[in-house]
Parts: sequence; structure tokens; C-alpha cells
Amino acid sequence: MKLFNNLFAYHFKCTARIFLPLVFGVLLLAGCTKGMESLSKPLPFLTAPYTFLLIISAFCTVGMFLCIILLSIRHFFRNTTSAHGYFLFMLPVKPSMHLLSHLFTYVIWLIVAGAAAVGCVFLLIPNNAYAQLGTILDQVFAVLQINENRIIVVLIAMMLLSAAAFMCTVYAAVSIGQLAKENRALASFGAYMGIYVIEQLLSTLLMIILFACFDLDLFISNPVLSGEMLFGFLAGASILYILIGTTSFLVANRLFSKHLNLI
Amino acid sequence: MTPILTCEHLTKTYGIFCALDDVSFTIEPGKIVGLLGENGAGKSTLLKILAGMLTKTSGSAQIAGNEPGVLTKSYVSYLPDKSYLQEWMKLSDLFTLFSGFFADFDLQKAQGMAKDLGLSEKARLKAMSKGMQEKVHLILTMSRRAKLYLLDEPIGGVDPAARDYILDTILTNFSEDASILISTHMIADVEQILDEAIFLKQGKLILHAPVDELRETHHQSVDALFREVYRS
Repeated sequence: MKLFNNLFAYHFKCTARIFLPLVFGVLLLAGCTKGMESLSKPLPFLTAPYTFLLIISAFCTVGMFLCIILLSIRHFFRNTTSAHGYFLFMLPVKPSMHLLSHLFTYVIWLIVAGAAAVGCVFLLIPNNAYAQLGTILDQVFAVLQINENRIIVVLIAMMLLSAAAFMCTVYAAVSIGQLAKENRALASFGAYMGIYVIEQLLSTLLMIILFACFDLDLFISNPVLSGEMLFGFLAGASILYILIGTTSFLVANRLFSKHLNLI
Repeated sequence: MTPILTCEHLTKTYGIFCALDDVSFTIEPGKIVGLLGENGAGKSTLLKILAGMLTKTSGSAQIAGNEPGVLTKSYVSYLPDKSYLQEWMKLSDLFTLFSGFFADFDLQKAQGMAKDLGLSEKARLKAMSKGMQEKVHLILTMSRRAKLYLLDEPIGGVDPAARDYILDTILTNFSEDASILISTHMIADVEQILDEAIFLKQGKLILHAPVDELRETHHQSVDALFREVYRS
């Protein structure tokens, strides 16, 4: 456990150098946009710069997630295929610990980015739109007949699960790509595409089996989405993500344990 | 005496290319062994397999009775031929990092070596020259109280003064039951500290003998013998 904590601290420190300024930058930009909104009311000529800043802030908020995902992949790729791998793989730590510490770091940063994104949304929404947004959400929850707290928790869990499953698939792809002697990035990308196609085929197959085994006509014939149907979909998707994530993790662990190829 | 390292018919292939071909040898505790050979002879490949960075194709390698893996990494100290550390880290960060991961890391010894080699603990790696970075790597490797040290070209990029200090450090800082397998092209420099020499050529082991025996048999230094063997 001590070694895992040390590994996590190491990865967190390595990624925090880039991610912390990124998250604070996006929050700062959203704060400036909010300030501009307040100024644009008494000074109408600032409306156009405010609108421009609002669009930029919205793009940056989405871009923050994209950066965290891409840089996390880069961090893992460098740590397993380049000279940096010599440090990690000379440690008396099982490959599963390496994978878990990378995954844990990535999920923590996604949570931090998610919290920052929520903050940005609250900052970016114009003051007069808060009440409208609340009304719309209340109407959606009423139509679906679901508890809003429950659905928020389930949706957040789903998003984290899908993000973790995606990253495990990337780990599996890199573990296959590292077997190549040259062009490992290309080999990893090719492996990811292969895994993605297999995933899609298996998902489709699973759906066909489910439709054949159970009376799922309800989902097709009923045009109105109900809360129970939504939770049913989410539960099904969660099981699929857990299966994909676990299988990918096991593949990556096996290849890094038995076929490590740090050239 | 139980060997610290035993390799039997160790082979590593990349497709049709054979990087290591049926290599067998043993190393006793307390020996400093030179792993000598031309470029592409398989020296780094052998060290990587022993350090657990590469998987062998066939044969076996045992370090203190265990196959290279998580357990052996706790008592094998490996110095790769590449810089593997994050360049933004300070020397003091690296000492903390190694202390946290390796139970056998001697912090005082590391700090002493850094001081002797004129390295500031507050300096970041990116601010250091290539030679200074190599010294940092060597300090981190030699500050562990390991059973086996695997050094891949440890003195290639350092100045002659530091080279002497490093060789002296290697001699004085490893215990009697530890062994060192050192790969280098600078045979003349390391010859003085070697107990045994292993010659690799195109992945094959062509010679393994005590250095004194080689000198007596061939009536020349190991450096001269190396030139003779690899010229032909």
C-alpha cells in the first residue's frame, strides 16, 4: 500500500504541473467572463467582447477535459514505452499497481476537472438564465418521474465508469503497441482501433441476445422515455463498461507482466 | 558459494534477428564483472533482461535464485544507458523518491556522493549538463545496498576526473556479498577494477574468464585482447 501511495503521489505530481494551471486558467477565464457580463450591462459596447469571451470560455471548459484525457494518455504512453519506463519498471511494484496508479490519477483529475466545469457553468450562465434553467430541469425530472439527486449521482458514476473503461482500453492498446519494435504510437493506435471494433461488435451482439431473451419490445414501442427505462439503460451500459474495462485491464496487466518490451 | 547470477541458454530474438544467442554463465557474489563487446553485441539486451525490462525468448536467468521480476527488483540496482528521470525534478526530489521506493536506498550515502561530485541538491535535472545528469543516475544506482548492480555504460559521458571518482566509488561502496555487472566500451578505464570479463560477439558469449587469468594466458591487457578479438 505504501508503494502504491508513493506511485500515486509521483504520478499526481507529474501531472499536476500541467493540469493545475490548466484548471485554474479555465476557472479564471470563466471568472473574467462573469465580470465582463456585469460590466456589459452599464456599458453596452462591451456586449460583443462579452459574447466572444463567453464562447471562448465554453470552448476552453470542454477543451480542459480533452487536454486531461490526451495528456493522461501521453503520460501513460511515455511511462511505458520511452526511457521514463526504465524508472517505473525498475521499481519493485507489480504492473497491476502501475496501471491502477495511472488510472487512479486520471480519474482524480477528471473529478477535479468536473468540479471546475460545474463552477464554470455556474459562472458562465447569464444571471437571468438561472431561474429558467432550474425550471427546465424540474420539468425534465417531473416528466421522467425520477429523483433528481439519484439521477445526478447515477450519471456522474456512469461518466466516471465510461471514462475509466475508455482509459483501460487505451492501456490495453498501448500494452499491445509496446510489443512492436518501432512506430509504437502507430501500433498502439492500430491496436486501439482493433479493440474498438471488437467492443462494438460484442456490444451489438449483446443487445441482440438481450432483445431475443427478454421482452424488450417495451423499449421500442413506448415512445416516451420513463425514469425506470432510463435507469435500465444506464444499468445495462454500466455492466458493459465494467466488462470492457476489466477485460482491457487484464489484457494490459498480462502483457506488461509477461511481455514487457522496453527497448 | 551460491552464485548471485546464473544464466542458462539465455536467448532473445526480435523476429529473425537474434540479439542474444544461447548465453550461459554464472557470477559469484563479490565479483566485479565487465560485460564487453562491440556495438550491437547484446550487452544492453542482456542487462535489460536481467533488470526485468525485457522478456527473454528462451533459456533462464536466476538472480539470487529468482527469475527477474518484482522480487528481484528489490535487490537489483540497474543503471540504464538512457536518462530515465523527469527533468523538472530536483536532486533532493529524486532522493526522496528513491527513499520511498527502495528500502535499501542509503540517503546519507547519496547526499555524500552528490557533495563529492559537486552537485547541488536544489538543482533541477534540466539545468544540469549531460555529464552531470549521468553522475546523478550513477549516484542513485550506487546508493542502494543491492545484491547485484547492473551498470550499462556508466562512465561513457563523464569527464576523466569524475570517471576516477566513480570507479573508486564503485570499488569502495559495494559490499562483499554484492556483485557488479558493468557494460562498457572504456575497457582501459575499468580494467583495473574488474575481477572477470565476459566477451559478447553478435549475441554469443565467446569468452568468460578472470581478468588475471586472461592477462597471464594472453600476455596482454584486457583492452589489448579486446581489440585483437574484435578486429578479427
